[in-house]
Amino acid sequence: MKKILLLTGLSLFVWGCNNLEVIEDLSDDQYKFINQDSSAVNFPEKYKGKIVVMGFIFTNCPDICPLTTNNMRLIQERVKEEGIENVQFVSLSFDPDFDTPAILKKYAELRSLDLSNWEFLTGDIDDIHSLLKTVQVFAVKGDSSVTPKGNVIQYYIHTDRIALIDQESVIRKNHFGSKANIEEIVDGIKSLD
Amino acid sequence: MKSFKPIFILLIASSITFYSCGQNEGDSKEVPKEEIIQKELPAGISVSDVWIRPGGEGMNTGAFCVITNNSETPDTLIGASSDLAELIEVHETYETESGQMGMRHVPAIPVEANGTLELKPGSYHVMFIQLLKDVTVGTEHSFTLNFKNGGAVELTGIVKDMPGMGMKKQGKMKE
Ligand SMILES: [Cu+2]
Repeated sequence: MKKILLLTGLSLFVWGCNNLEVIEDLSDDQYKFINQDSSAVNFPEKYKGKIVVMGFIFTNCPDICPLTTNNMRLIQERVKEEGIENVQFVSLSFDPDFDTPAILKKYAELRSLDLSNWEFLTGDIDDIHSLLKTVQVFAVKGDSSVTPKGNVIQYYIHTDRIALIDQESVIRKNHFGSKANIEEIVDGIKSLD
Repeated sequence: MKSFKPIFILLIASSITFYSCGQNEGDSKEVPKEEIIQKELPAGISVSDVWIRPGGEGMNTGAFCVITNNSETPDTLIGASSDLAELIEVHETYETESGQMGMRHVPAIPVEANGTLELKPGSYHVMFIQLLKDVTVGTEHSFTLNFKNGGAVELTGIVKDMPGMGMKKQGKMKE
């Protein structure tokens, strides 16, 4: 108990300039992903020094994940308006079997997303699961649909999440993705900036 | 009055929905009851605010709308059809007890007599599985909802990212 108090106190001291907690330090972790252009991405190394707004999606999801993606777009627009420059947006798919770089690129294009500071990531299922476990995002196979041609379309039961990660690759706040409060997240970004 | 009121509401609703282009059905006193019912029964369901999320060929998307049952008889949404995708189903987004989000096929959804059923984000949607072509923002597409009593109702919806988003201003939600 004393240890917890000490840690809490220390955290408050270290991060005293904002009211965000320390949820998970990813700075020593290494995950190898690929982005929508099939370029390799070392996560979180690549984004070190930037504030990262990270969503977790699968593109076969027609409802929750588009809401999350649209909320990230709204945050991106607000951040631009506020003139904050060192923010990176990241959407990680937890369905790499379907979500190839080409599919992710198409998903972004269909929504006219500004990819100048936004990457869609996919990769090896083990790497993805490893990160999901660390950040406590749950994504397991749920129901599926079978087309007349016999194709099985897999749906996932998943955490509805947008995570705010600071310049040192520490998760500072977990938000709902589809029901995100845009201004609350923008305030969080401002406090880290 | 007891028996007059529902008929009257029915008539108003049907006037707004189906006869807004000039057919004069507005004066209930002049129309025999039998005639009203006869005209009303086949057209008990009306649908408004139809929109579709963007989606790519081979991918999935969802459509949303507001269904109104203008009749005195409960109805049931039993499915949807379209040549836009390999498979169309009516789905429900749901939250598990531990707060995770999932989605499942719903074979039948009741639409109460004189009630509305809203297919909306975070709830029910028409699920287009394996689109046969790109469904891009600003384009319009038709599909059909099938009701147990009301039969097939053909709809056309515009593609946009969010309800209320215009074609040009998509992405701007705050005012
Ligand atoms: Cu669905």
